[in-house]
Amino acid sequence: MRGAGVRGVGARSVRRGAGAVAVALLLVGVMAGCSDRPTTHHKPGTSHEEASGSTGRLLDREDESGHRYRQVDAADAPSVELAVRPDSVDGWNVRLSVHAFRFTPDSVGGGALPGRGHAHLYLDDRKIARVYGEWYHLPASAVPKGAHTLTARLYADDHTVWAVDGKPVESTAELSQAGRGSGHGHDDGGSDAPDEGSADRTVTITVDGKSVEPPPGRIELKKGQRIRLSVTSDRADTLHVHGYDKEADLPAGRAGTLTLTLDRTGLFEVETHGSGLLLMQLVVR
Amino acid sequence: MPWTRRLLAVLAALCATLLIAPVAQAHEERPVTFPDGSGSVPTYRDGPPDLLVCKKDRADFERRISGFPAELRKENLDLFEKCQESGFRHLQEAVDAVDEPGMNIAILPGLYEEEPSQPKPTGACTKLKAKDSALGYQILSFAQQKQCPHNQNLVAILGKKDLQIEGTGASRLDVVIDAKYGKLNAIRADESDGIYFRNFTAQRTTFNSLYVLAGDGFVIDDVLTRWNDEYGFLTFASDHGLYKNCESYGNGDSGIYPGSASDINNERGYDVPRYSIEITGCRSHHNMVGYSGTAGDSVYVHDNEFDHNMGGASMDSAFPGHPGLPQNHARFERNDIHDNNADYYKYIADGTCAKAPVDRGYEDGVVCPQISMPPGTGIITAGGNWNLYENNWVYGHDRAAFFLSAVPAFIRGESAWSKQADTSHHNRYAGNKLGVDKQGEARPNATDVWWDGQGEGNCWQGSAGASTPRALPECGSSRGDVSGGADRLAGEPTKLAALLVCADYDARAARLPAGCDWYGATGIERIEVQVALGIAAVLTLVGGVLWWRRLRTHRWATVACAAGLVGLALDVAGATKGLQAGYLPAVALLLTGAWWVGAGVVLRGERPWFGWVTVALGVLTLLDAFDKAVVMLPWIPLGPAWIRGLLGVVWVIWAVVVAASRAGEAPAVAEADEEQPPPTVAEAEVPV
Repeated sequence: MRGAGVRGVGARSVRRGAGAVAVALLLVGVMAGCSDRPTTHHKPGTSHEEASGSTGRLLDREDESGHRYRQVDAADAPSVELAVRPDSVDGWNVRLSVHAFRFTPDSVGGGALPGRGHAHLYLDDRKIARVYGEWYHLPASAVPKGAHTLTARLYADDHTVWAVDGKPVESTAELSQAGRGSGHGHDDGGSDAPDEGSADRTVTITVDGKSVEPPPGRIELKKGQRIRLSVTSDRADTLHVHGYDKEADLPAGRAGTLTLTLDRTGLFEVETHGSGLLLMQLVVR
Repeated sequence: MPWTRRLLAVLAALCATLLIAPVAQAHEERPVTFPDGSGSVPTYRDGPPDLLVCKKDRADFERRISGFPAELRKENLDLFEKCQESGFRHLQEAVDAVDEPGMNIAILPGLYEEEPSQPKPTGACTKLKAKDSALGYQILSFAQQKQCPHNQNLVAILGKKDLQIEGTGASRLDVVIDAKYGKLNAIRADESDGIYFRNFTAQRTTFNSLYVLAGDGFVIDDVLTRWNDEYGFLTFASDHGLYKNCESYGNGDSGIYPGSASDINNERGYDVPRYSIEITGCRSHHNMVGYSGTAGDSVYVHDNEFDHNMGGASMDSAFPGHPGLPQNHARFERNDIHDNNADYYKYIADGTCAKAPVDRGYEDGVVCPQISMPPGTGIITAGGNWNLYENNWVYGHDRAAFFLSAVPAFIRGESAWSKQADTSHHNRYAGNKLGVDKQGEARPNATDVWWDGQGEGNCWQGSAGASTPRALPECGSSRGDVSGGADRLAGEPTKLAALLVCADYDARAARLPAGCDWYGATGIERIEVQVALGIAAVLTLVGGVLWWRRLRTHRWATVACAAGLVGLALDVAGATKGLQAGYLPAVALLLTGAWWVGAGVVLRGERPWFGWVTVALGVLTLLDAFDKAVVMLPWIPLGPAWIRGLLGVVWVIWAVVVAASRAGEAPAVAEADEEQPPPTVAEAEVPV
């Protein structure tokens, strides 16, 4: 048959590409009269340098959930500063200012790489949230009366605790709940509380220009559950759930909702079509 | 051989000798041949696994499976118990334990970093005798890969037959094989016929995550790959392949690359007995291109989604050394190809891609495009034959739904004269839903078709909207039926000029050609507009002087010159991105042609030779307008624009001479005519 090894080739490249560019070489030949070696052929591309840096040393020490500490040198270590500001309507707005660190929601579960991962928030010693961005809204309903300590601690993608000199990389702030009633503030999008109607979960997202609040993260649900997406955009747009190919109109300044049954497993992105923003990722297991 | 073909071939051969030697080679691989095609697509085996792979941390394992359905959770717990007794801690160890064909490896939920494979080579593995590739890595033989499997690969599967590797999680994200940018390949299956991959994720390499090389029979089933310098999936020089329900994103070249799929249908027409690779149910997004197919021969691609890349899919014959060139017989059906408008060249421009791969931020959405390509395009074909693009949804593109151009053979290293014009022919685009999404909502493409005009037997559906050229050969109801077809040896000169400028891209040197809209040039910055403006300026100047010196006393000639001026202005407008795919370029040619015809008729009196040449230039320009807007002229080997351009150069010089000469100093050939007052003669002959 035709493919039976008749096309033996010499050293060949596995290079490919859109290649339209190469047509231009015809022009070099025909119009420029082959007078010069063209610079139009594809180049070797970006560097493909393999990583060899250290991602620290695993210690035997563990956090309260059994995640081991990953020790790095102080010079290379990430850091975090926590600031808490009362919200005008409900609870507090919590800010995690990080240095030498970026939040990597999409690669969580992968190997640890320097300077990336996520944060855990603890109220006193109780974990209340995993955080993938700089801002987090802490509702008053989540905080009992009295004085409390809020702690933000940095974790790697593999859920090990970033540590320096045997101590976790973390920052704390004090807050006090002075009997303020639990407000009706925005759903933080990460809440596990059951929501109204037939949805197992409601996620509320606000889009302002290019900013998405809460910052794009990943939500895991089980196959068969129902999710309601409530999105308020500052401009008219279209909400789109990839994979399910569901869409909903978003009128400017008013919440548009989309409820769907998660009948397919996989990773699905929720985006706005007009502004092309990634709002969140749904992991359906 | 017609004289044009002969001329082209000579030029091509000359160029080939100059160009081929210094071609930059990237990602070279050892010499390979296609499999003999005697294999078959493997089927999934659901029996108990022969070999188990898991980690030791029970608490971590239980956390990972806590959300599984009860039955699956129990199965995994049972497997975990067995694995603690007799399993392996790393996938490579299990692969090394495979000692006969047909074994099953089960990988339990967990993160697999393959620590024993990570260290850099030592001892003899640092001294292998092999040629270096352009990127610095060695081009190893199969024997050398066996000797040093982890010089380049995190997991190396070398010469194992009918092996099945399956994750046992609830989703492909439950088993993650992470190269952390420390190796070229996360998993390499080399000469391993009949391999079946299922239900896991492989990620973060400096080349590609899942590499099948020279295999006869493979399945990639429910696998995710992401964040690679080049490809998510690369299957090369392989046959009897099936990709299904896969996903890939965050790759500097393509998510899915069935490169050099077995060339089993070369020299056949549209009817073929089988395809070498089938790809279905996959999604490839946020890459440079979703799918690429340099020498992607006989690949059947159906019911996939390619979205939010710079380009949805591409086929080409533009790079040397790929078995099976020129590319042929890809068949795309019912794919959902949309919104491929990403702008990743910004990461080249701002220096992000100059960092080491580990620091670029692929996980945050950075993609470093490895080559030049036209972003905002659905399907690109740069040198390919007998491809079928039928019944796909293609919508929401900022540039074009379909892009088709030729690539002469010397570009791929073949200098035979007869091959220089062997692409792009017989590509059929029919029955596609253009500018409409699957729900039927309007999501227009800026242009439905961009074609350089070269090739024989290419056709598009009659419903295609804005296109350049505006007149396209139309597909009939059955494959092979074409009306209004042409057979040109080369594309339109202005399009080739633009491609030439756009091609001067260098990812490593962060060079983004300033005149090319692929990299963000707009308006006057675009080379097409600059060329049109330059030509218009020269013609306005020369034509203006000619009119002042020779034609201004003549009413009809003045009208013709005014039409020409409008035509030139419209030509500049028609070169802008927004107007190039409409009728405006043809209207501009119509008016410009009218100027030359009118002026030429008048000038015949004073300067017969120059007058007739001017008329000829005008007629060619009118033909060019007809060719672009109404129907392509058959039987001519080059478009009217080529001849018009060459004649135009002669005309400009001649016009300067004519305009500069004083009345009464005309050449001898015109003396007889000069005895009569030119305006009188001319006026009488002007057609109304």
